[in-house]
Amino acid sequence: MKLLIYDHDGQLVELEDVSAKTLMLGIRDAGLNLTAQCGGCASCGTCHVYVDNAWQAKLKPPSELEDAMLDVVEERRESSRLSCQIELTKDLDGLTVTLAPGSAFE
Amino acid sequence: MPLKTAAFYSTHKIDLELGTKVVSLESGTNNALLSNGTHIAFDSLALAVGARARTLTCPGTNLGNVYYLRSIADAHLLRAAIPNAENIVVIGAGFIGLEVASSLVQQPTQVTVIEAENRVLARVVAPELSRFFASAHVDRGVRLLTSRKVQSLVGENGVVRQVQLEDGTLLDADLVIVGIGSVANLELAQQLGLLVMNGIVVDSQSRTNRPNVFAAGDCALFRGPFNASGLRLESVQNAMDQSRVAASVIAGADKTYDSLPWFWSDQYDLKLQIVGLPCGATERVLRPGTASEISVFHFQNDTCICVESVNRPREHIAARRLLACGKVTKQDLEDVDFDISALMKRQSK
Ligand SMILES: Cc1cc2nc3c(=O)[nH]c(=O)nc-3n(C[C@H](O)[C@H](O)[C@H](O)COP(=O)(O)OP(=O)(O)OC[C@H]3O[C@@H](n4cnc5c(N)ncnc54)[C@H](O)[C@@H]3O)c2cc1C
Ligand code: FES
Repeated sequence: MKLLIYDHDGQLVELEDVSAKTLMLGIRDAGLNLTAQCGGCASCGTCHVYVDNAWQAKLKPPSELEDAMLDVVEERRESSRLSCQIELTKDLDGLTVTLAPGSAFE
Repeated sequence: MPLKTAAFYSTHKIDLELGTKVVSLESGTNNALLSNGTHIAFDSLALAVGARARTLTCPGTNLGNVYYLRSIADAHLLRAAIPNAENIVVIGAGFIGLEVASSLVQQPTQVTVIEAENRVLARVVAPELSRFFASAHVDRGVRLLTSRKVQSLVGENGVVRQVQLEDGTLLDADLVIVGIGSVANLELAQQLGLLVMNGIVVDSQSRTNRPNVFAAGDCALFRGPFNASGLRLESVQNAMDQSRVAASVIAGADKTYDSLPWFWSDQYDLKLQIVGLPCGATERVLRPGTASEISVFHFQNDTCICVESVNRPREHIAARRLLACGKVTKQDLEDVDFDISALMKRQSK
């Protein structure tokens, strides 16, 4: 499947043939700068992304845990999600997200 | 499992030499000998060599089907062995032992956890949480034996068959998983003659007693104003934050390590989250819950210094923000309507 990622500099990176289980793994395996400190168990908030408007409705709503974790991230918005909690299913082919500030490893 | 791509290292001007070990460092020189026979000269050196699994010292530890869990290779070996096991004995009820036990719950195996201390997670959580986790495991079918020590592992044809305890009990075991802590890798530091205790002693700038040598992560023992006797934290947060400090200082910035420690552990459907350290606490206040949630607040005099919570992510997050400025008091908790998220919102106004 394909993923469209706007990185921290606003550059669009197109990832083809992604086979990762979650969005976080897809982004990280491609070598984009994403901290994802806890390795994907919704404990750190450093895999924060903004999901493109067109895709928001296609995602399962965040769990209570994810919602609580999103309260700790920098600049939470309506479209905020933890990328480690988004499972990459077939219907998400073409998913477009922007890496949020605070998720970059500095 | 690469966490970064090759491109990451090249753009950041990092030469990555995989499969190469630093075999020796000579005291008094700034030179490292590598396993491929070459030498590297350095201006500054950062030791981020981690720790290794503490090994069991009783008879029988060399038998087959005795596993440790530290590296991804260990994890693969263990995973391959599990489907063939009927009786699994886990030695040690720390985070690793209990997380392993919790991940075995789907298997049609009898899992027994043996712990020398009188409670699980004794080194890392309050007694109330130890009781909470002990019940959680027992309720899900784990046999838990605390205050019991392993005497020996008994084998047949080179493979483990039984675990004998000091009180004479014999437990059937066709797979043994040992999770009894870790030992810092100190050899290189010792060759350099650095000050070591159970870790390489560093100050709040991650500097050892040799000015151009730094250490961070699992191998480092941090001695700061609030922990004079030293503390070797083993967590991802500590490894990342402490090495960032080391890198900044080496690059000439004036940075000190003052991050609030935090940690998590997932067992079954229970998410334990800890923020702060309970060292120096004078009192703790329990906020009881159900079989699936609980929290404990540690106070030093009147100031909250650590919060351990299970399945209360909002409380954890609020505590992370509040502890950073030290603003939860015992009076707050005594308030019947205490709600830490509301407190956080009030204070951040
Ligand atoms: C099973 C398990 C579960 C864990 N779960 C959690 C958790 O849920 N949350 C959490 O916060 N922490 C957890 N931890 C702890 C966490 O993994 C460690 O704190 C962290 O990895 C420490 O990082 P480090 O870089 O200091 O050491 P390490 O990750 O151990 O890295 C050290 C590296 O140095 C290399 N090395 C050593 N000697 C040499 C040499 N002479 N030359 C060259 N290379 C050398 C080693 O091969 C290794 O790759 C867990 C640990 C284990 C084992
Ligand atoms: S990777 Fe830690 S919350 Fe997603």
